Amino acid sequence: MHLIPDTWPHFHMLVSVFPSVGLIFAIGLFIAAMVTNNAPTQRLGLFVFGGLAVLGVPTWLSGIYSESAMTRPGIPEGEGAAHTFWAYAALAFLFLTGITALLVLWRAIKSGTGPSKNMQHLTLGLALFTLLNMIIVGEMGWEISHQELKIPYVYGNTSQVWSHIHIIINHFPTVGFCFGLFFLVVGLVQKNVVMERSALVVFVCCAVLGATTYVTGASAMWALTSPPIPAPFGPISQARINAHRDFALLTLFGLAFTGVTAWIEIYRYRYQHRFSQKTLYVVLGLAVITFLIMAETGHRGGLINHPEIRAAGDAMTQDAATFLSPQIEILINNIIYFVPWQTVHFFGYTAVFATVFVVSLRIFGVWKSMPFSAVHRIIPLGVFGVAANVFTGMLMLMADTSRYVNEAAFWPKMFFLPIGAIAVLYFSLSDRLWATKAGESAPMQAKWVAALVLFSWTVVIMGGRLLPYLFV
Amino acid sequence: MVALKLWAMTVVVVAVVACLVLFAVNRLNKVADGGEK
Repeated sequence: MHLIPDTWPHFHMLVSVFPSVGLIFAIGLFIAAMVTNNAPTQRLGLFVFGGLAVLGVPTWLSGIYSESAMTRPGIPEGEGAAHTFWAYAALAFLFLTGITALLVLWRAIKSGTGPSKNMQHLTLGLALFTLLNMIIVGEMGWEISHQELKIPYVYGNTSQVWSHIHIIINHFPTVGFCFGLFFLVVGLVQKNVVMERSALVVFVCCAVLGATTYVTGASAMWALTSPPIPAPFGPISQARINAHRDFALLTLFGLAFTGVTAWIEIYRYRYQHRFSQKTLYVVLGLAVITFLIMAETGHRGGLINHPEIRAAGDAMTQDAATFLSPQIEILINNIIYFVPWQTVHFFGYTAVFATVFVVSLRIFGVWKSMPFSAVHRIIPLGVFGVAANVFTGMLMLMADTSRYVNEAAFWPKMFFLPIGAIAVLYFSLSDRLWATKAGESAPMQAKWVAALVLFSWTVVIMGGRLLPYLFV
Repeated sequence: MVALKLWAMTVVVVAVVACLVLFAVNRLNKVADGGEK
């Protein structure tokens, strides 16, 4: 496989995700640095903004050279014009953000402190405005080569909305891991707890989004193959899809191991006020392995519908049955395998809901005689419940993907799953909530988060139970 | 026979997963006590 790009469109697709999707992670780090008032992390955030602006140059140039490659049959005349127009605006704001960030960084280094509050807000405001532009540009960009997204929904078929969401969301774990690894390595070198903690949070969020990515990918498979996409954008090779999803399954395992190990360190920090250096290096190792698997997964995904990145030497079997995923599908359809994993899934969500319910009730004011730190001890049970359910849920999904993804209760389940799982992180990260002693009320902010978490998991479980009964 | 096999598989899988979760929860409880480095 040719991971290193040898054409301009290939290079453009790879580099352009950093100033767009990467900007979200850079903004996240900068906000974490602002909230914790950690000067070294604020300086790292400014450096990352500057770095993304530098990456804007190859994005811009590769975009210009890629225009000549837009000769693929089926792309309407002038399709890229709006993308190009908005790209110049987004790049202009990106450069402005980068230059401002580097100037603020230079002044901060000269004065030996962090940037002033005003400068922090200015840089953050510019970055957020750039992100808004990047969202528009990105959306117009991937619509150029993905004309299949415009196929209208026909009753009985799988909607192309799934393919659309998959194209967007799959970049979060991949780009997120680049940033997570960078933050973790810098944090380990500088022995900076905020950077290390930010990296761990990124890994956990990416792991959660990995599950959503896998599910939307499985849905996209049906949207692209049943019925087949007409020429010139189809038919899509089932063998290419299977090659991609075999690696996607490996990625899911890698993300789960990295995410759970990272979460254990976030948990440890709450009680011991330090990380285990050994475990941080384990997280680093797992993240590197997962990132390598993810790079191959992403490349195989790109090959599905981007003939411009296929190299002449790429060998690809045309026999769709030779891959692992179809064999797992056959196996899991046997009740002897399906029912035991389904039973584990039911135990998993009872553990998740019990955890969420107990923690939320304490936050709402029940069992006030207990400090929050005591209630927090139950959270590992919920985290392992989520991990078990991601694994068992994927197996159950593989038994009958087409039916599950076309049930009316499936999309709210999949929408609230990442929200509920990521919001739980707040319980382990908020210093104000952690300081809630016996007899004290939790902060109002925590009550809102608890309500969101409780609502999300209620929808996830109800959605699951309603799956067999609500058809689109 | 199928029913017996189904029961056996379910009990084994649930027991294995339960043991793994209990082991991990116990380890993390020690971490919270400050005992596990």
